[in-house]
Amino acid sequence: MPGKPGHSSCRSSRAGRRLKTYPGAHLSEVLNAKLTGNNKENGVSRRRVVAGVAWSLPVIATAIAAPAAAASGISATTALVGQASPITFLSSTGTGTGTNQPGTGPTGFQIQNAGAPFTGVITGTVNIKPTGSVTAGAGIQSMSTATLTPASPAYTAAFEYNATFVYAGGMTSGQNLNFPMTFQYQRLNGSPSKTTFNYTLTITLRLPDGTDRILTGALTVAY
Amino acid sequence: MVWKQGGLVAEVRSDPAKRVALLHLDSTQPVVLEGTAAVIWDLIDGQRTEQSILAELEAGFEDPSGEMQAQVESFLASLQAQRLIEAAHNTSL
Repeated sequence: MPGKPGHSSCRSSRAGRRLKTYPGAHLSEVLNAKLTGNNKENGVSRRRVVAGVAWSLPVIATAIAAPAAAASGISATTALVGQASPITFLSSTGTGTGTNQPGTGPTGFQIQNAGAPFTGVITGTVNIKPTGSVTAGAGIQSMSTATLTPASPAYTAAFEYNATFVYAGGMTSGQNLNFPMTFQYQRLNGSPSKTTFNYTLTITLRLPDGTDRILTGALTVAY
Repeated sequence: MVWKQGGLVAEVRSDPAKRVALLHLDSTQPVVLEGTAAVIWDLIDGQRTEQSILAELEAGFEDPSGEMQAQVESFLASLQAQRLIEAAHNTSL
């Protein structure tokens, strides 16, 4: 039953038929729903309890394929692998030159074919865009399985990275195809120090049936 | 910037909203928001500015790393890239 505690509710934004929402709710009300115990009985104010909640990276997780995927011709799901994993960013000037930097991000992405085998070319684009103020870019050092272009990352004046990739091997039924990635940071004169740069990673996959899959994640580079 | 939840986004949520599943009706793959991601989703109401959302989060969470603002901006950019949110027409609020 929608709206009843312990049950799910749903809506369609287009129709505006939202059965259970929190429009205009304050954060404390949203958070309070996640807390257990009676704050008043414990003699602890809601704000103090809420303020004790530790912040964690918000991420978009990929769920199972919607039924519509089956009707598209290819029933494949995609996902980033190991989001927010500890990773190493190599210097853009090449191995052995410059210091590697630690950071977080995915270790790759994958395509899982839940339907019939298919052939044809899978293409994709990668965009890594700074979030907030940065003085260096971040790009993909290598992508296994696919052919990445350009092979040597280039950055815009706004420290944005763009690339394309191609995979032409097709997929068998039930195959889980992995695309491991390594990353690099843009090494420039006057390297940043004691700061963390954040980026949004967007990978758009186009399958042979012309449908797209969009993956988004986050990268951080700690200088 | 004022964001609103996308007009072509279907939503299913647990009660209380620990998990929110979203599907853009032109997409074939749903996504799931949990934890802070679900909290932010609930704050996107077409009325709050990005700054006011961040202010509420800063008041409600402990963020010793100081990365909340960048992470929230990145998260909102990700939602926009997947067309799950869109700019509200009235940005003067």
